[in-house]
Amino acid sequence: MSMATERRNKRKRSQFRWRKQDTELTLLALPTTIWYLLFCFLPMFGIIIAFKNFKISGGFLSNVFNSPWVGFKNFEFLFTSNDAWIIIRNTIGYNIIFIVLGIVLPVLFAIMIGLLHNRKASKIYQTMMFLPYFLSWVVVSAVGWAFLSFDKGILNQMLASAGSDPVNWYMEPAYWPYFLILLHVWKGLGYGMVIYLATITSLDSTYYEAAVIDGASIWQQTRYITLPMLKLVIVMLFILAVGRIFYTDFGLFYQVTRDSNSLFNVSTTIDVMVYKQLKSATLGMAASAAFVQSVLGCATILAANWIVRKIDPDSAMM
Amino acid sequence: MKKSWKLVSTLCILTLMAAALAACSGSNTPSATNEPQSATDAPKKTDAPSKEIPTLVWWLIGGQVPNNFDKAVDAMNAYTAEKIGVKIDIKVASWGEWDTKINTIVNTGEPFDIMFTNSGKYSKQTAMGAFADITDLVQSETPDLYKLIPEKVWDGTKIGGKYYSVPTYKDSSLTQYWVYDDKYVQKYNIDINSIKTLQDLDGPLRSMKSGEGKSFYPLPMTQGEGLNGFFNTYDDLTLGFAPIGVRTDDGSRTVVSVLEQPDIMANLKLLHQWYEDGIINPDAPTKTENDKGRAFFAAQAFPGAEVSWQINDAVEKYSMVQHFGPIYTTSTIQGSLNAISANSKYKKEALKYLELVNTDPKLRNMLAFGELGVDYNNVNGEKVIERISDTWPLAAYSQGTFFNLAVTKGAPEDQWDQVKKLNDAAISSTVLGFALDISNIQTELANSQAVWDKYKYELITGASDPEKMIPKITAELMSAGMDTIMKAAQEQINAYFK
Amino acid sequence: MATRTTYETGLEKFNRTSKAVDILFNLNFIILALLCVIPVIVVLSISLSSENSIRETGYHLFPVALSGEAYAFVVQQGTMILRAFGVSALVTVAGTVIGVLLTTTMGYALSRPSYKLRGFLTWVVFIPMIFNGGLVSSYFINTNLLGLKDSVWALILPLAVSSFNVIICKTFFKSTIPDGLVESAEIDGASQQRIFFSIILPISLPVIATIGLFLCFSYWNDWFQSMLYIDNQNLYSLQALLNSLMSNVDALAKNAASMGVSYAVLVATMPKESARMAVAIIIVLPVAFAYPFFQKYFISGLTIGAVKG
Repeated sequence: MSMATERRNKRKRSQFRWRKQDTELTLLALPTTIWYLLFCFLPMFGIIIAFKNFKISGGFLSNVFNSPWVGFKNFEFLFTSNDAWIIIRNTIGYNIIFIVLGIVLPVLFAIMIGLLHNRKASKIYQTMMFLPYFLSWVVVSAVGWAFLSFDKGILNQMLASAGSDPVNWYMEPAYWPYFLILLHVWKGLGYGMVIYLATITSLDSTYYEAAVIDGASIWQQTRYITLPMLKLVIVMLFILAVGRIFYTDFGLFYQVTRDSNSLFNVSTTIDVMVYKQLKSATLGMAASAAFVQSVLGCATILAANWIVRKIDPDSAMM
Repeated sequence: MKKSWKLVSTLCILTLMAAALAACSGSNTPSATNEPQSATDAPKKTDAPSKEIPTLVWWLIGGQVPNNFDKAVDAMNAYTAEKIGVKIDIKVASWGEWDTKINTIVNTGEPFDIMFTNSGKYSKQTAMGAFADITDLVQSETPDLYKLIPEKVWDGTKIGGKYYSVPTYKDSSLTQYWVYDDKYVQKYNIDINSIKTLQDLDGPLRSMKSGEGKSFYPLPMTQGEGLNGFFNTYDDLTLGFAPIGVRTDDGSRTVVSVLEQPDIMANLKLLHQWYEDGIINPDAPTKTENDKGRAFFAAQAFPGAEVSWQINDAVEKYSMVQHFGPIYTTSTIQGSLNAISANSKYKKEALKYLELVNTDPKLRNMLAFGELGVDYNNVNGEKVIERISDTWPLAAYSQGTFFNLAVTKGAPEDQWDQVKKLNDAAISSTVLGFALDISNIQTELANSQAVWDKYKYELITGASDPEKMIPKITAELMSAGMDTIMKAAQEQINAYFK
Repeated sequence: MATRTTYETGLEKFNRTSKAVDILFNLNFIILALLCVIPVIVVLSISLSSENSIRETGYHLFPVALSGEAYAFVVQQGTMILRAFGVSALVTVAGTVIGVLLTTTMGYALSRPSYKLRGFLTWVVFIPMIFNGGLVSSYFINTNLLGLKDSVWALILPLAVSSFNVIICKTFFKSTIPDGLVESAEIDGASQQRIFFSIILPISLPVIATIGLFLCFSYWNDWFQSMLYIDNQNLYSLQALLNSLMSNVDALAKNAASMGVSYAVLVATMPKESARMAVAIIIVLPVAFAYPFFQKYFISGLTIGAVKG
């Protein structure tokens, strides 16, 4: 056997041989693995509930395993709804806009805030932009009411003092897609910026130094250094966001809109519909809704990952 | 760097340990010892006395738990331990969390003994098998409790012909009133006693509107309520789904599509007129909380009830006129029920406790008002009390009968006798005692509810035009399966009342 | 690792944007910051308004009739609110520390290209992002198997790890830790644990701060865990308390019709809107103070003089 083959074989063997490092790494990862086992994988047996007519006969475990099997019966209500099309359109439509804005805007602002001359000012801006994250949707809904209420709201008061008639905001669907998108962006902007800021911070400064010496302008530095370095993170966040394209923020679409009938067509998403139905539906039906969202989410995330891998294999998540 | 990391991690571990100790001791002080070791273990708490006194878990609905809650419960336990050898551990789930919390507890089989429930959940929970059949037990073990509550009221808890809960005997029959702020009655010379129908209200409401101005709404409404009691003439078969019902006086017990009935149609048209003319506030379909003090509203009540409204709304006088009822329907009786867990190890003891609550005034007052001397004081024995705090979180209507409960100072002393009179005079809906079995129509029900939810707020507040909307809504409802539900309901009714 | 507040080197001064652009950027951020803060101001304003003024004149950006009644309520409920604050603080600190440790260790292991179990563990981390067993079975496991009912640990442990954070961690480690660094340490005989704690962590402060920040804020914001697992209201977190207060009023209003007279009696005992807003302010304020602490790890200059250990 030639030297080269020998070396290759030895490397191959060592690639498959369990090394000391592997044991140590396993020990390092052990606590977290146990966490996953206890909090994620053990409860997964609950998925069967979607296929059963849940009845109580004793303890929970015996309930789950002894309840009669009903196949896909629990799923019927999801697919026989007349409004299924509107709901799916809303869910996916809003999410696509959210995904695009949720990447473009935080990246843009993260880069911009790093370019400010006055560091202290940028700190202040950042803190202020983070505050919306802490107002729960219930509170935001109350603030929304403070602005949009027919007789007491700030907007209508402003209109009245300008001589116009008050508007019944909660019953005018035309404005709400914009309201909802604005609110979603508003709430998550500070949070989204953090990831990109952290990435930019950890970039090696020598690249920039070299660029400056070569005469690159700020725009060129951004375009040829910063953005490519952010690519990995952006792609990863994009794929993850696509995986959640069937999930929406319940608080935004249900609590802020006050469940107004007029706004049904522009604000009802899958999660809102399931929540409202849950009041009359059974445990099995609720589980079936979650299951469908999971399966669809899985399909989309795998699809997104596959597409990304075709374009740029290094960026793919898996 | 290395050293400081070691330091930081040691500090963290120490903090964690301290936190864990604090948390453990913090969560041990309340009387709850209900840490389930296995799914079916019922909680036991042995006390200093050598006799083993069981502590039952009772889930009640309420508000924020005040600091003296444990002391108040201890006082109750001292009393009941002596009298019937049973203690209670009251767990409070607050209004907003009730749905999620109770669903989780029932679904996961978490142990409890007694649980408050009402018409929204009762049939579902019973269908799941969560509650014990107490039909025989209540008659043999607690005959006083059984005799205390009239048979009509027991009928309201029947599912499949058996009782699965103890109904709360209070203003269990529905009596509907129209309530006027007296200042407007005087101002516009409204003869409130001559107003019998909705149409009769038209004139007075319009004079109020033209007299008070553009931004005054004589009949303010909210999203969920609309005009309270609007569908009272139709028994909803505990579905909580207004479009299906049986007319309460219909001897043939025909299940009908309520929205299409001529009387409902006419009233909805009237509401719509009022909405357009500014008698109802334009944001009614989206408004969740009522403003304090309304010129006119409708409500289920009993004589003397206006006192609490007057205090709460800071209105000098409300004048009430009875205009419908009293009537017993399954829904009105199921406004407050207390059920016993099918897995409870202390069914007898639980019933005995409920019996004591419903017969013993001292315990009843403690449960309803709180700690004697801190939350309330006796003014006339246990018959009249005076509240001195407003932090007690539990609601009297959810616990037990009103008829051994004290009257609060300021309300008419014979208040409960008046209520009893109403109950005794009440007629029954023709389908009283019937509970719809929804196990085969779940999908249709869920889908029909979804359609109704889309339109209901605007319809019941008069915002949408009934002539245009009702055909549309009915068509959608039918395609969602409402006709299947109606057919199934009719078959079940016919079979039950054969 | 200090951050500077002004430019010091000539190169930095040379490499920054023009004054005009800077003014434009500042303007942009001033508008954004205002948009973010105005709702908070409205909340503050409601909390400081008297209930009558809201009833008569509606909502305003600045209170028409000042009233301390909301904060008087807060003080009166002081013990309850302080307790909730304590629970929130404890849970946040403990949770963040535990969460960071669990997340970074897993992230590091996943980032080592030659780790044998890498593929397996990647799936372990990934699958829960898609499938979960549902509320009910999680509740069952947590209360029956793990005995977490009515304990602070129910507020801490279930939220400690999120696959999202793990993947961020892994991505960072993979792209910013040079292989050579680790290999030379391995050759020197260091164990992976030692490498991780002594070498990797110290140079990964931006990531740690990021994950720490996310964890911190998700703990502080959480109310759902309290509602589900805690029966004893003394152990409620602050956000859970507020949520309870606000949803109670809503739920009562929804059930008003069926409750008849009892509704009027009960509604009188609920905190007024101004009081609820006051609690919301109490939740937001610590954030405004805590965030700058984490900030110094994020502020990038033009990355010349960037924060990098």
